[in-house]
Amino acid sequence: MSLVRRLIDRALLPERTPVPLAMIRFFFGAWMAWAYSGRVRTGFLRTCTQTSLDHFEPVGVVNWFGVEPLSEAMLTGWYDAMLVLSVLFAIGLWHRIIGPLYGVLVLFLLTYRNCWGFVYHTDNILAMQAVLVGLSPASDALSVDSWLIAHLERRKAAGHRGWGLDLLGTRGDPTVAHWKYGWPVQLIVLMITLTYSVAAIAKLGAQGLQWGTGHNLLGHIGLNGLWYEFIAGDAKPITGQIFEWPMWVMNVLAAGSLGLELFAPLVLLDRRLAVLFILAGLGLHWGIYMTMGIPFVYHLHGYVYVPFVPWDWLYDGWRRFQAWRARAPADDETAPS
Amino acid sequence: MFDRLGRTGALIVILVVGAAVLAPALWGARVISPKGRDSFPLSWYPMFSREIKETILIHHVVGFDSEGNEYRLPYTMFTKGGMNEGRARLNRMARARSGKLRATCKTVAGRLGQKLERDREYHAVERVEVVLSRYNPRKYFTGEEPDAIRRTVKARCPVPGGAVRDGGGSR
Repeated sequence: MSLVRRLIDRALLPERTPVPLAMIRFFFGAWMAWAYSGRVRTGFLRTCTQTSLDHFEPVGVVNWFGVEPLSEAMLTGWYDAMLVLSVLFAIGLWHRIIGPLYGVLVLFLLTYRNCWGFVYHTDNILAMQAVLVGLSPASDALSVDSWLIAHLERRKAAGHRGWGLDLLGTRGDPTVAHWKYGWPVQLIVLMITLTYSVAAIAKLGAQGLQWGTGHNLLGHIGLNGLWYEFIAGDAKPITGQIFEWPMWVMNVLAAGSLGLELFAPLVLLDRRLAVLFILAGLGLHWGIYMTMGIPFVYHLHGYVYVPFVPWDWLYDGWRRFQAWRARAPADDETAPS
Repeated sequence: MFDRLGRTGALIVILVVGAAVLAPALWGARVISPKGRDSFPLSWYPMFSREIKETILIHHVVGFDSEGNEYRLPYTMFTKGGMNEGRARLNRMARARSGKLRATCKTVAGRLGQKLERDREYHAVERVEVVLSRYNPRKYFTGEEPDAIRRTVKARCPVPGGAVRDGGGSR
């Protein structure tokens, strides 16, 4: 096999069990159902229904399809449908149908929210991930679908009719790896890491390596602090202290974040790099939150890094542990006294 | 859907998604938006694409009581969304120069005139101004220069019920 082919297989088409995709599906749906209900739901609907139509500036798919502002009843209906589908998505029920529908609905609603005067970049990954997970075979294991398929197949084998089996897609063995479960995970990881890289390219395009000196980072912290101070009420207390830090600290922070963002896609080459990326990414987003008050909520809670976790290794370890526990008493009983 | 693709199909999808995410950064904003505006979920992160100067101009809304004490009025007075939407709107209205800042000024003054319980801390405000202020963030946050280097009044309106003359100008 050629080197290029080996590299492509390793980075983009690796063999994985269905477990990582299932965990991505579960955590994504659970996050959406939890994070987008309550106060966030109220704020979302208020912004999109009570803001003057003068401020409606369609972006993305809302712009492409020429969508007009929706009525409050219709938007509330779509939004609540998304919350219900989030739960079904998380448990993996009828994923073959619900997955793509849910992906499109999340993309549409998040885009619609960003048509009212300000684009929230904090939701970029969320919207794209919904579509990619929705189109993936993410309910082939650890899902209601896989349980139903097993149940219906047993009934069919016993001579009963397997009603609805065709609608449920396929079932995967959580212990058997195949590239068809590996590449969607790598696709999601690629999308997330490239999003970081685009931010780095934007910084380099404007300032070149000067960005790494930290002066512009300090400028962003100051600008953001002024907005909080004069428009929101108060800036983070740490803002004043940051301006008294030695410049080399800003230099390290700016160069470090730039390097992390630019080279993020390298995690595709080696899964062990993912551990470093998760820790550095969490540090970056918690740092941004503590110094600038910008809450990348999905990132701060670590949900954005779920696709980087080697869930198949963890699942395998858990199975071995369960097998060891089951065997241990029997070994004790047969041991000579 | 993805499970029906062969290896070539999978690689094509990976290439398309990768190129779509990278496109705005590599080939410019017009790839995702004909007017070169920011978009969603594909973005070129315009906030990182400009150099931040040592002094910064910001639009904001302030109120004054009868003794001339200044109150910073929050974005919740003129927007249903978050802080970023509030500041983005002020900037856009200022660029439009179609009297929208004045309308915003009147909206805020009208709300203060209702003397709502949630606005209790601003009940003494008699005059509202939308201003453009220039600050040096370093000097402001270290306490070296807490006042604006320069301030221009873009719109001024009285709070209904107050005895303040309506008008606009600079100081």
